[in-house]
Amino acid sequence: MFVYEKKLQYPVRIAHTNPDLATIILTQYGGPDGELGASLRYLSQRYSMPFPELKGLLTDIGTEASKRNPTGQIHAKIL
Amino acid sequence: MDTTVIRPATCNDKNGCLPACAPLANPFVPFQRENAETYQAPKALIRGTLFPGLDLPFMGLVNRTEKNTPLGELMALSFAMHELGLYLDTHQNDAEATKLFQQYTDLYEQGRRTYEAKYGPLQQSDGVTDGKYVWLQDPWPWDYVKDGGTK
Repeated sequence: MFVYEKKLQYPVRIAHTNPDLATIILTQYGGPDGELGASLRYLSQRYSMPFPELKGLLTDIGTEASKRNPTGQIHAKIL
Repeated sequence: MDTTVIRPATCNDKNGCLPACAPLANPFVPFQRENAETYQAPKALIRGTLFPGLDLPFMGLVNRTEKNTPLGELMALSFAMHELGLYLDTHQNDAEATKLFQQYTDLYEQGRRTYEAKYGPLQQSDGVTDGKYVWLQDPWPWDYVKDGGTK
């Protein structure tokens, strides 16, 4: 269960718009091997994980991937 | 399988443990050892890792500019905290790292409260100031357009 913090994980600074780059970045965020899909897979795979270290690891990695909203923000800003 | 590990004296932070007598044709990943060196939080944030041993810049492109803003400091503390959390998931008996984790969590809590007192809430649960619901106030993280970036 997550808490939303009103800050990015890492600062983002966009100088110019670039729709072509936006397309590429969107595939990193959404897309077939995108962060969103990966984070959901990490979080779902916890449920059948027998080892506590790995439950913790899958939780933390899945959470980190969910923080990739800077990618989505970059996308919105450079469109 | 023999579970003793090789740890030669010349091993530094960029090296890890491998099993001494490993089964044939199996790949192994060197495991990060305890008591590894750590970067200071701001440097860790811009290098993308808390551990110099894991700092392997893509194509040698090293990020050097540290962000010395109040929010930047908070981002750095939060990042260091999460890196240590990830490390402790697989090294739960590392006492030094546990102590460092506690220090960073305390620093982060302090920093968060100071920041929120000055700039407004970071979490919805702190969204009330003087009896008013201020959570909806701009700017949201994607709104910083004035100088082209975040605070």
